[in-house]
Amino acid sequence: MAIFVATGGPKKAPKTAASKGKSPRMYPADDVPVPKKSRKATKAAPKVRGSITPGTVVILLSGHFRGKRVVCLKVLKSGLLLVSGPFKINGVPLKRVNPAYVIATSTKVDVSKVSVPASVDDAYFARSEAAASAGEEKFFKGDASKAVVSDQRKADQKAVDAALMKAVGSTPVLKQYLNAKFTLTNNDRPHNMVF
Amino acid sequence: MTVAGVMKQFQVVGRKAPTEEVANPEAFRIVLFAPNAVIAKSKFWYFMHQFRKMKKSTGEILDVVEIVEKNTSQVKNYGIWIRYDSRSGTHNMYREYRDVALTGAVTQLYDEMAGRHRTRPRSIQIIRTAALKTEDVKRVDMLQYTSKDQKFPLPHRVHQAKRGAKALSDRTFTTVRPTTFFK
Amino acid sequence: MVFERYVEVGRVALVNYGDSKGELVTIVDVVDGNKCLVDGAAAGGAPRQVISYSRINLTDLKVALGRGAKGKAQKAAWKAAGTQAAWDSSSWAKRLANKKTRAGLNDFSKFKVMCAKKSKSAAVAKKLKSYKK
Repeated sequence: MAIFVATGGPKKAPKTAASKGKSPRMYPADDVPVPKKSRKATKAAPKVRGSITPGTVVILLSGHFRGKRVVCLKVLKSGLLLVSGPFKINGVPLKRVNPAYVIATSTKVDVSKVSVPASVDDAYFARSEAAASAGEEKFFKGDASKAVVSDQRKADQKAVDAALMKAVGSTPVLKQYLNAKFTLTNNDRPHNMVF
Repeated sequence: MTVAGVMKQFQVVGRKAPTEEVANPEAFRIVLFAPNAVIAKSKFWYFMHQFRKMKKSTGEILDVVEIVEKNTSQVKNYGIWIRYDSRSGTHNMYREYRDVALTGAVTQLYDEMAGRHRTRPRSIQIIRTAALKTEDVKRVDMLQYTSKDQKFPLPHRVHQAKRGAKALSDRTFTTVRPTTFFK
Repeated sequence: MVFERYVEVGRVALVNYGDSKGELVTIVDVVDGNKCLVDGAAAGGAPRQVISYSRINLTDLKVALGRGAKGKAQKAAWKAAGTQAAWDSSSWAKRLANKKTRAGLNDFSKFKVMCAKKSKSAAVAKKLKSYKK
């Protein structure tokens, strides 16, 4: 005679009797994958190479601003660099960049007088949910909302750049230098070049 | 010997393996030229076999030492007496070289014998070598470099590579003729 | 077609290949038609070595030396002839030094050089234009 056991529907782990401190009376009939718990402690911020310090002029290598020479302001907790063009010189706003995609030059700008607002951190640059989920459908329809730079950002940019522009202006030709794009030409051997 | 390369000078000492009858056989020493100690030992047995009833399987090597020339800061004239087997017979020969070390002169000899006579290293036997005084130099092509106030220009040379470009002599195609005259 | 630079004892040459590349040496003896014995004791300190003629460039400079002269004698001969100064003031040496400095410039300095060049050629062009009128 066959014995029928009510399994209680589709594959689901039976509720453990954790409340009474007992293990379940029966093993679940099916294996249900349980995500592994990481034993690692919270990761420390990645180290940034020694050639990049606050004030270092770095050359961006990827993205919209590739080739631009910008000033590194600080290293954020995530290990990304906070850089500014300054915006007025080369159009690069306050933004985060991956240090793997920059060339650090030996040129330094004195940023001791530049104070970055405390609110400017990784969360400050995080994209909003709405912006991230703006689908292509909307985009092609043309009713995707245009990215608007918030007044907060504009204000922060102004505050940072004001001091930064002063520092840049104190060195002759530095302004033009930051304005110029970095390119390789014939017979340039990047591995032999000194930055 | 199969390869020449840069020759070194070795002193190899060997003897017959001791037996109950002869507990302490006579040891022999040969100074010879070889690219490495392994070939030096092999050559030792080759020469030993011609002089005495000895061979590798019944003998032993006692010592292999490389002889390094101390004074390599002066150019010297070397005379080398050799015997070599050509395709048609065996010949004796005397050649002269200039170098800072005897091993360099011997290396030059092996290279030149290969170039001029297609002689492989295995068919060359060096009989004798000597560092020569200037007045003892016999060969004209060496004599000209021993004269006191010798000087000569370097008239015909191919230009080096210009920056970022291959040397003219390295290029497959070029649109300019090489400059070969230098003052 | 007269030659001015000879392979001879005392001739100063510039090494153009290998470990001693860019260093000045003195020819202390001629080995044969392909190579010579050179020594950098009096100049950059390139080791005494047998070198092929294709790896050196002869210069106009010459010092009075005996065959196989050692480092001390070379230094004395160089001093007596003022060879180092003569070399340093030659346009060849200046060009090499210039090249070396340029290669060692950082990105910003290279940019400044570019700016300086531009303003110089602009000034020249302006002046030139004034003469044409």
